Amino acid sequence: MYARRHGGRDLTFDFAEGLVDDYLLVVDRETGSVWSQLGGKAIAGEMKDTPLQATPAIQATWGFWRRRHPETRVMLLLGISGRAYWYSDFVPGDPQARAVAHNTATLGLGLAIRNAAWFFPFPELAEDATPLQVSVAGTTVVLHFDADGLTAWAENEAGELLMSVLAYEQGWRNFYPHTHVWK
Amino acid sequence: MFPSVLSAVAVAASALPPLPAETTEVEAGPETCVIGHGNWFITTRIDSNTGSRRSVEIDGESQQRTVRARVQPRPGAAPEEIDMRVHESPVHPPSVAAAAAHLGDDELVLGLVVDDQPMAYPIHYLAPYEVINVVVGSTALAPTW
Repeated sequence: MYARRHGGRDLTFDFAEGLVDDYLLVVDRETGSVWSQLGGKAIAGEMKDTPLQATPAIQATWGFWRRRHPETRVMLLLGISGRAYWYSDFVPGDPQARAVAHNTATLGLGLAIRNAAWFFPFPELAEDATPLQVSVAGTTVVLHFDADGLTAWAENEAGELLMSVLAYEQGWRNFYPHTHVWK
Repeated sequence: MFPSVLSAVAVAASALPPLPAETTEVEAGPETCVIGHGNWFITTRIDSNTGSRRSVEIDGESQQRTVRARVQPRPGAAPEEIDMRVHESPVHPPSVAAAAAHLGDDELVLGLVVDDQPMAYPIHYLAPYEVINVVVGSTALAPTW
């Protein structure tokens, strides 16, 4: 999740058919600069090397999110003819579908603070009682995990959400080859 | 995080916003669902044998917009200088209250609280577009997945 505000204007992003380090790219309409989705900065064009401000968010199941935030609103997209577009007949919770669509064996929470990168695999988090307090680059971090919610996130001691990402371990290692892995 | 597959369920017309002027009508069969946006569309085909959804295809006039860059044309490929095709992502899509959201509890969403307003962005919406342009209160954001 990134803030679109930069230099006094809101950028508008479109997606591009290209990759850098096997990660996705987007292009802004205002300058035509190319941005790395995971890197959060421009890699080409007028705004090359400009970073975007990342905004912490969590990835979770809808059930987990709406129970925690019953007042939440949900974005919807309009299909053809202006009808709201839902896809409710796909159920990731179906045992077979879950095995294919949500293979959590190598899924985990990636967290980078200053020069330290840590990966917290879901199977390891499942064995610990969370919230779990750990130290990353001298910073106390509180880890949260919910197996049914398919979610994990990190907060500081003040309860503020920290930037982190759910990723497969190999994907995280592509960006952080020297990552520590929690056990 | 590459385009995933989608299916459509129509909702009552009386609850719907008016048809966007730029939406293109596209004929769709029973095993095809199409999202139109501007003058291009995504087509998803459903395998009638397995029920799985596959083959997200992007077509339409937006493919003529390109940006020249040194990038990988496909996963695992070496970078090369190409005219990279760029497709329009949604801008300022509408939102509904939780009770009006036809989502299964196991659907994945990106969630955050902005200006005291919790917002959820279904990942099935994000997956084919990679990024969507939204505004929550006074904050312009780009959910991406």
